[in-house]
Amino acid sequence: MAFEADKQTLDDLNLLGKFKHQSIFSLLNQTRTRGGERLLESMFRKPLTTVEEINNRSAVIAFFSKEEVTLPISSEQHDQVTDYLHRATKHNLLTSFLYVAGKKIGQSLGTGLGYEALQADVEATLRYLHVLSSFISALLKRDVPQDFWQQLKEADTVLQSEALKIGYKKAHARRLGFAEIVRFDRLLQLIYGNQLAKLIDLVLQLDVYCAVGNIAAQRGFAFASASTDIANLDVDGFYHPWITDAIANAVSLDRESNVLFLTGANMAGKSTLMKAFGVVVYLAHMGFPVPAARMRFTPFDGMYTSINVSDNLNLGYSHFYAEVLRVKHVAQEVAAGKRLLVVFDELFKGTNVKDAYDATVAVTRAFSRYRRCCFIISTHITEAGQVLQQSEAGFRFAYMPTYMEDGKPKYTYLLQRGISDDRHGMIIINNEKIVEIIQGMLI
Amino acid sequence: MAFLIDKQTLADLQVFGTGRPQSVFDRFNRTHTRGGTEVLEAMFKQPFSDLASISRRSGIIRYFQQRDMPFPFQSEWFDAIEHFLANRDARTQLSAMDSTMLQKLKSYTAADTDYQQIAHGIRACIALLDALYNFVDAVAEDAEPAYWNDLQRIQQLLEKFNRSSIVEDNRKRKLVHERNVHYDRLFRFQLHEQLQQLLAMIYHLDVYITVAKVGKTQRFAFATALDGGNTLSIIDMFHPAVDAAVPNTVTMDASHNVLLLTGANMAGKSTLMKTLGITVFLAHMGFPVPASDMTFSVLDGMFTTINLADDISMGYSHFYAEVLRIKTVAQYLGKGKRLLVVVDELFRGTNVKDAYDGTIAVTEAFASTNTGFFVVSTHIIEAGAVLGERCQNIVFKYLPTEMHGERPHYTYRLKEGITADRHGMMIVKNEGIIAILESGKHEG
Repeated sequence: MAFEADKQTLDDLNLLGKFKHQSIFSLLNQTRTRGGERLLESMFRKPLTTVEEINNRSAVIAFFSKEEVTLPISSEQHDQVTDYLHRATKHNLLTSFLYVAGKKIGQSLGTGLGYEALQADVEATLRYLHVLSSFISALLKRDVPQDFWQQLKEADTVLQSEALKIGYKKAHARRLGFAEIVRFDRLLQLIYGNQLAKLIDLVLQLDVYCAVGNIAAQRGFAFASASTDIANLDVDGFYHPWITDAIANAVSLDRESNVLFLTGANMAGKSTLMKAFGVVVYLAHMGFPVPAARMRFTPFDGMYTSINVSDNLNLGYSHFYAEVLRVKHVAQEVAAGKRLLVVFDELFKGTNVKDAYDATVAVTRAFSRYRRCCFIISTHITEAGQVLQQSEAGFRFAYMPTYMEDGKPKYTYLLQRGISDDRHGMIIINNEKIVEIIQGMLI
Repeated sequence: MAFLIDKQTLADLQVFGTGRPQSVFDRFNRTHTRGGTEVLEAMFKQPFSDLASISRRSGIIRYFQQRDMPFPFQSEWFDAIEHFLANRDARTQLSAMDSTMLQKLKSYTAADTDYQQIAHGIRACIALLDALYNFVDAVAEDAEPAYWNDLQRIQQLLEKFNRSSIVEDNRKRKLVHERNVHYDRLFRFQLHEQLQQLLAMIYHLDVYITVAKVGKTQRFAFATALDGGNTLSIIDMFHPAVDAAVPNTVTMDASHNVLLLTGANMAGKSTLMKTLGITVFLAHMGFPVPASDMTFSVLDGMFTTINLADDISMGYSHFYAEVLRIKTVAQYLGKGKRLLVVVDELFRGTNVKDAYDGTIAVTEAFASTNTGFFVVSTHIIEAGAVLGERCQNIVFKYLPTEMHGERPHYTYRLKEGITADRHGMMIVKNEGIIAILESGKHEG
């Protein structure tokens, strides 16, 4: 079953998009080949759901990260070889011979350069395979995780075949002659065609793993460990990867306390914290390294966030209604027994303070009964937290603090236990001396 | 002195259009000439804050509405005239010397486009002047005193021209070259300035006639402006862009200068506040207003906060932005400016306690002034109760919600008092979110 995450969630977390400003994809997209980039994108689109898949991929990337392996192949080499291999059109020795001969004659008559290009392609492919062969056999001697080791071993068997080994030697020594071109063209495209196609897929995987592994090493990302034991989600020292000098925070949720109720003033950093958390959980489900110090989790069936629901108050009613419909959809999924991570930022902000308060309390309370799911719910209406704190079990309360400096609000971005009791609203009104100005005592 | 207003207020009231249904400007912009549109726009950008200007313009528009006069000029004349008068290059001036056979031949074969255009401009000017003489004749008998100044100015300017020859030439099918040379010199060079001034007068006339017509078709009324005093009385005002809008009456004075408005989200609070803003804005332009009657003491300006958006680029939270705006308004009030202040749900960007305290503090301060009128909406009825005890000059009104079974129904008709109606939770309940969650397979 696929991991459930709708478009709004992907948008909220800014996950996809090669050219999108500060997307998570663009952060990790340092693959060498275009094929690798496509593979990376498909991994983003299809996070994993089983502990086994997640831990396997995570272990492989962790290996490449630790060993700081880089792919010894350039994008140009790879393109030339894949182009050549995709051009396979021959069926037997005769058509293969006629194909090469045709190019040769054409060139002698001065009507085309096909032969020389073919010669270059065949030589380049042999050299490419040779490089790959030594790279993979070196990897096999190291501590590669078992499953991936098997994949590498299969590729190694093909690459170490006698016929190809002869090719490597000849391609290095001198230019290949006509008979050799016929022979190796047939070997590469006809005899080893299928195996080499598989090999190219493996190269793309290697490309992604090396690239992501290297970024993890540079940035000090951690590898999350997934387990089925208990329904928990424990993230330590996480931060938003696009924020420089981001403040790290920790969040831990489990069966006993499955709701994090987050309060704090509007600019205190609630949304950023929620986005960072969403990104970490999403990446963990891809088996990717995460911007955190440590993470343990039981995989979810999906996640829903509602973070960027536009601040556009003009939308008024329709905005509120759209929000209600989305909450309803999530409620249906949760009630159907799915294990979901739900992140709601400023639920019902499109409506008045009183309704937002009532709706937040009622909806949060009802959601919290689903112990297998985890919820992070934020509001600037601290009263909602206070009433839940008195009546509910299963909640963790945290807030993003605000303090006043020279009459202006300042923020620490460091999560604190409890409910914000910041009452800066009246302080600001008093600082700006609104009442006195109106009464004409001050100008 | 200009009427105080800012961008936020103009945006709240949708005075100028940006795609939204129909702006107030668009509603009036039915002028016959492009010059008229420019004059109209200038008027919208500068409402008056003095009785004399307001009464004068409103008197003129009312006069043209009573006369029910069509615009006495043809729109296409103006393009020709503007184009003609814009070219003041002396080298293009027609000369009697050109009266050769060649010139005649050219004019017959229509080969000389420059000449054609000049001749075209001359004909349009003559037609315009002829029509203007007739307009002056027609209006001179019964013009309102408000229009006397303009009329007199038009007459003075027209005296420079020779009426009989213009009337005569306007009847001819074609002017001989010599006449064209004469008029070209007259219009483009000798009396250029006077002609431009006449055009400006005509563009204003265009606006008066158009606004009078729009006012009539939309059933707008003329407001009566008062000098001094503390009156704002609008009978049966309606939002011009809402079909079959329900009319409401708002009456305020010195002893009732704050209106506290409550009601559910969809009950029509914002629309009512916008209607009030638009009506007061148009009244200060001397334009007809969407109401059946209106009497008002002239104000120095108005500020509304109906759709305040978070100014993310400035790094202020919604709440802080709101406070700063109230501060700006407060500064004007502190200087003794008489304003209409309309604030939709004060301090929604903060927690309930701060919103409650802030609403009370600011509304109480508004109530303590005697310079202007304040309309404040809130969902925090507790704040309303406290204010009712502390201040005598607050009027409480609400927009009701009637429940027809599970569905809310809105009357859009103002009622006396405070309401606790909110429908946000009702929607949540109607969608059955809590029921879905309670019937699911949860544990604990």
